[in-house]
Amino acid sequence: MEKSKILVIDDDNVILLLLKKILELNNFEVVTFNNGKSAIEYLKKNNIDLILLDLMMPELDGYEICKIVKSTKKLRNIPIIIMTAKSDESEIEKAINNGANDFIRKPINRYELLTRIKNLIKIKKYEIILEKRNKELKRINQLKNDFLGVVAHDLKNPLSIINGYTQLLLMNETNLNQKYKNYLMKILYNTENMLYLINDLMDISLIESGKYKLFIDKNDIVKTIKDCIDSLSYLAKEKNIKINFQTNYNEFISNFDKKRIIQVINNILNNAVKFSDDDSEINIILDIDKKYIRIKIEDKGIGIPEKDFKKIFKRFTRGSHAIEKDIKGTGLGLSICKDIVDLHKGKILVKSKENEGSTFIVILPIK
Amino acid sequence: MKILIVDDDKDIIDIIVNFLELKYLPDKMKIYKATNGKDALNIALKEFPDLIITDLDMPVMDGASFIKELRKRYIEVPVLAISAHSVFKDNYKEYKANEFIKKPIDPDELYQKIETILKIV
Repeated sequence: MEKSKILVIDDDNVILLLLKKILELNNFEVVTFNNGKSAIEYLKKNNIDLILLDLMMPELDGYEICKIVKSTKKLRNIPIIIMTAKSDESEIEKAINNGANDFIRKPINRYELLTRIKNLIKIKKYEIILEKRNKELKRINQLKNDFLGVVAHDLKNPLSIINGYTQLLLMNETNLNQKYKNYLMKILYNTENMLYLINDLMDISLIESGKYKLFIDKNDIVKTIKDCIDSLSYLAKEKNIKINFQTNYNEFISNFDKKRIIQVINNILNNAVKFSDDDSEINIILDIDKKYIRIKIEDKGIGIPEKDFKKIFKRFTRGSHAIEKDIKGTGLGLSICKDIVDLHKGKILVKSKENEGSTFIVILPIK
Repeated sequence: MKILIVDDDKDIIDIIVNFLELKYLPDKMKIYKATNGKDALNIALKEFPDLIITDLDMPVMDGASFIKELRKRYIEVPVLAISAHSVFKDNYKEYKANEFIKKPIDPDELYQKIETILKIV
């Protein structure tokens, strides 16, 4: 293994010789200088792992040398230990303020010196490793973001085109019989599903890279819930499912990200409809107290086994019951819901009994 | 009415033209097309369209730069921005567009937004 190289600067040649001997005995490579100017010239052209520096020197003193080293880009990371015969703390403080990393008092204790040197060299080694890893991480992160940008555009565009022409075929429906209209509606439905998945993946990537921002402003939670129910009414009607909304409030204003909370409520409601039988009912209850808004969504669907209560909020994980009953899903929606609610500093809870139904409770603090 | 439609994908332009012709009388519209911001700017400066529908992510000159160049020249034509990225849904106003619609385009939403911005200007 390569020896660490130490530069010693002291105007006393006896001390230089002594230190050189001690350090070389302990497997360090040593270079000595009795003045600052030549030392700095040497530093600019050679690689050094540590500088041992006397404070009191004629011409260029220790403080000046510290300043110069720490302000030179190439040399800035080299640890400096200053040696001082003075016991005055202010002198030492001045040196540290000029960039010295550590200090040792003369007469020098051999073991104290060696310990400090070894520690500082270790720290420097890790600093270099960290810097390299950070650079690599930055590069990979940028790669991932570029990839996502490409995916979004390149996947969404063909999907948009399939979607667009399918809609145009349907809009010219007078020429089409019902069987073929249904085929086209299935194509449309599936392109929309693919788009939801792509959007979910993009959300997740943003959340995981810490770039997911909430746009919080004043919104009416009562109206928000009513809008969600409206947008799902078509789906519910298809299965003849009745959605009941109970609340004591005509209106309640609070601060939250409307688009994201709509995403959460829609996701849970959508699941409630998906997992419920035809002709059943879904209850939404809005409770508000001094501190919290509580939105309870109850269904009488297939339910969730207790062992899955935590799992369903994890990425790509679905309730085992849902998988058994072969109901489609990606396992992403609820994990994103949990992230959104967490970002609002709220909580999302689930209660359920297999084959009897599930209740999801979204709790949002009132701001 | 002169309408300029800008998107790097010709099929998307074709779909939008078809949507428009289904709702509005084709002989009352003159449609101009461009596949990048630079060509779009040239057409806009020559023909002075009454409405511009433009994608935001395009090569050469993207939609945002194109709109910026228009507004620099004090051209207040109503602009409907489109994008596959929903991130623009909240800050399309920064790009000085009048409205925003996400891909895939819902025809009813398209009609509604066009009518809204034509009323403002």
